Amino acid sequence: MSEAILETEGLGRAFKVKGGALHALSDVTLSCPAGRSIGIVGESGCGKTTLNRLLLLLDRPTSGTVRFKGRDLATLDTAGLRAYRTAVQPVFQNPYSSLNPRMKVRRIIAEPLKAAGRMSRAEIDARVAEVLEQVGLSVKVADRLPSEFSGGQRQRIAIARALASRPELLLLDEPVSSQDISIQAQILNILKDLQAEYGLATLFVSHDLATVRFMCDEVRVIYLGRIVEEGPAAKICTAPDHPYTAALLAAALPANPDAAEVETPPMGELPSPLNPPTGCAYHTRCPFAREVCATTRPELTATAEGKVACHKITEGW
Amino acid sequence: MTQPLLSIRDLTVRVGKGAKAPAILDGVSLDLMPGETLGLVGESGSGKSTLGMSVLRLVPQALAAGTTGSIVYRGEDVLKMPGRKLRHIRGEEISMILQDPMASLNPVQSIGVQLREALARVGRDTPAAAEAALAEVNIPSPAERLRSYPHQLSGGMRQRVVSAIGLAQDPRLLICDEPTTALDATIQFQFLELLKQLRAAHDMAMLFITHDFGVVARICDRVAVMYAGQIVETGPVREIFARPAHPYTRALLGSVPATDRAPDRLPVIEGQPPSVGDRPEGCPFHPRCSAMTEACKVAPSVTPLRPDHTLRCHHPQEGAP
Amino acid sequence: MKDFSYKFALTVLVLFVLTALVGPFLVEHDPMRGSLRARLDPPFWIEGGSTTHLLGTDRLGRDVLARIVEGAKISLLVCAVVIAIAGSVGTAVGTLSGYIGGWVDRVLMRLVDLALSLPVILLALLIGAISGPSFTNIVIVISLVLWSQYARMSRGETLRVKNEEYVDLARTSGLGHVAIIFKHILPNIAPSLIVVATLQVGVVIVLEASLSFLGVGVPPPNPSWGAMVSEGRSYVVTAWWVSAFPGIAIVMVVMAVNVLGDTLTDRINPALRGRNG
Repeated sequence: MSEAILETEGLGRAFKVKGGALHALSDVTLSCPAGRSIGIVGESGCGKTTLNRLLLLLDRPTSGTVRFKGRDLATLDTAGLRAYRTAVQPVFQNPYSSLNPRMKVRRIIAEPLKAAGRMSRAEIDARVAEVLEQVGLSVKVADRLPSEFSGGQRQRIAIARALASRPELLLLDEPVSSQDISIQAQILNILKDLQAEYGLATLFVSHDLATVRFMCDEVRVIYLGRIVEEGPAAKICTAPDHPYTAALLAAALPANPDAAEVETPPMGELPSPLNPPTGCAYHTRCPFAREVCATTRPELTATAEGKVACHKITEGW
Repeated sequence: MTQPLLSIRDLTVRVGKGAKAPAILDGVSLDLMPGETLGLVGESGSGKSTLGMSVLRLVPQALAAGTTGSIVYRGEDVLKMPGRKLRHIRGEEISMILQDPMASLNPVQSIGVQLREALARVGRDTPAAAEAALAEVNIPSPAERLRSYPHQLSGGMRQRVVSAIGLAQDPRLLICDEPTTALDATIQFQFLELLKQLRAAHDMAMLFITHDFGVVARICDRVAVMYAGQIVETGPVREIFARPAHPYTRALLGSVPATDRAPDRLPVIEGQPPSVGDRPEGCPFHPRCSAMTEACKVAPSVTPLRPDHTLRCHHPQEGAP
Repeated sequence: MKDFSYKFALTVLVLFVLTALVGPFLVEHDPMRGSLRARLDPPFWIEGGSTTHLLGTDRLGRDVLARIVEGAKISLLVCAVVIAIAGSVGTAVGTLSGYIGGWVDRVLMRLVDLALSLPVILLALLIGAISGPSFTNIVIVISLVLWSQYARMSRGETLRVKNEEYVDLARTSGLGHVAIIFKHILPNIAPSLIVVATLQVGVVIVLEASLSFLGVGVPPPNPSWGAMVSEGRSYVVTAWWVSAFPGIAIVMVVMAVNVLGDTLTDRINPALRGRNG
């Protein structure tokens, strides 16, 4: 059992708004062991962006803890924080806003290295060339501005930046959603290759089950800030237990005109996080909902292969 | 033999005049039958959006000068139509839904006002008709919703309102330009189901522009694959998915991840789609093509592989991908 | 047509800067002293004038062309100093205001409102009446007026940039606030500020000319263009060239600046607003 690089316990983030609180994230417990790839799947408003921000220390949780190799992030000293930032690196969704348009690529990639302050100028330059090569870009790219490159190339630059400090865990927030299909495949391959070659752990946030199936070992499905199902990627993406996951799967339209008609098509609208449904947050859209679903929130309980938060499954209707 | 509703022949849209100016669309031809849904699939730079816009002559003025070819709708060439006729066709015969519903809706007018504006053109500007239009697109509490403003609705609801407005005049052809790309997957699913109902109820043809093969499989009868301003392959959806003949179509279909398998790597097409000014000589795909030979430096013409499966390639591929 | 006016404006401005920098070394006449024998001589193409004084002389016999050249230098100097002062103070206030937010933002923006409500001319007249015309006064007064524009612009731009993902990324690398402001925010708000500065050149010149015209700007005998226009007022019908040429110079430079500023705004803004793939 490998030690978890990053783990959260009961992580929650609530925002104060007019008339109460907005619970962007509630009670999220997950663990990223070394070398494993965890997928986080959800649609708008599920809290995946909030989760990312909490893990990147861009925001503070209102409940629960985040631990880096056993140590609570909130208690880390400067050295500890530096170690954390070296070990955990992000790649964001939009390569047009995640690269400073007025900085040359070399400086962009070197920034985390300079901030850590451990390497000489020559060492940094060498590392910049090395990571550019790893993402399939020529070292000549380093002296140009981001605006000279296409979306796919920019995303590679963003990945190179994330790799520069030799991280142990990559936090990937929808890294391919805004790219063309052929570019998506290229970037996903690069990510998977890097993962295999360097034993990188990844936390891959996405709205697409197919991408997550390709990239990840395990998946957690989030709905309105809570984990509703977890399990191996193969199971979640082919035979899930939770009705929401099933709806997501039905909505992941396969490139096959003869695909079987779905049994439980997705219904209804995403409720506003400001005014979440009582009981089980999904009950307003669930074809199996019963009275208990509107009154009691189901707990995340263990099943044969994972966990699920659903009365129907745990009570066996 | 039914006549096609829409018949595009050799449509070329260049940036600027002269035969050497970069072409956003390069000799595009297609037919759309009444009641049929044709998908236009392509990546960035393929020209699919420009093609959709051209049908209603909605391309920017600057490109109008560099446009040649014909777009014949019910016997008349849209490109040569007088302004009055064109304005009549827009909305009443051909309607359009775009990707960003916020851009299509006026943020300072209630949706009731915008809907009734469209209904007024066919003399059905009544509260009852407006309510019925919203009910048809499955918007709950339609009477109250008429008073809402666009920012008060979710993305999926806005897209439904846009559809209601688009269908208010009962057009024969609906052009959809990536209408679901900005929607969540579960909302996209429901919206596509709605579109299927609406097209049956209104007996409409649809030109459906998308980059998503899953969407094509779900809603289209036939599909045209576009690359670098050209249509490289056209055929019935089942045929194209089962036996894609163009190397680009094959490669593209193969590079999409699926939920039911987890290979070590996805098959990739090296390089990236060319930008408008930067297209290769001959077949635009040949520098990235695994089946490339010297012959490909000459532009292939459209050849029929099977009666309704046409191709623009020197080396059609056989069998399942 | 648009391209032509841009090029013309650029030419005028380059000429202006060159004149200001190099001109004073090239003119043969002393702009400060004149020969009373050559009072109010007309420009060389009018009867009575000569090529000794190409654009004629003023009432003290000083060469008009030499004074215009020296005036260009003065205008440029005042512009440079004012924009440097107003620019740095305004940008500092605006950037901090936008970046820190909260009560700091509110307080600083009230300060900006205060600055905007100052009556410029009145203030200048007051200061001028108390301590007489001087370079320092004019620089202070004009800076007081203009710094708030930088503050507003840099605050707005800072608010836009600080939410960009690359700033988040810099934070996740552990960069502190100072580093983020200097490395990420300032370079990205700079283009807009340059546009403001360019447009302000025209404003400074007009303000300086107005204040000098009123007698509370650049002290005599310094040949500020505004002061020259003022001096020539009494005989504008008979010796029109004394007021006309500096007046033309003012108009040309200010128009050129505005055209340039317009073009820059067009070019910079779409590029800055970003594009999607």
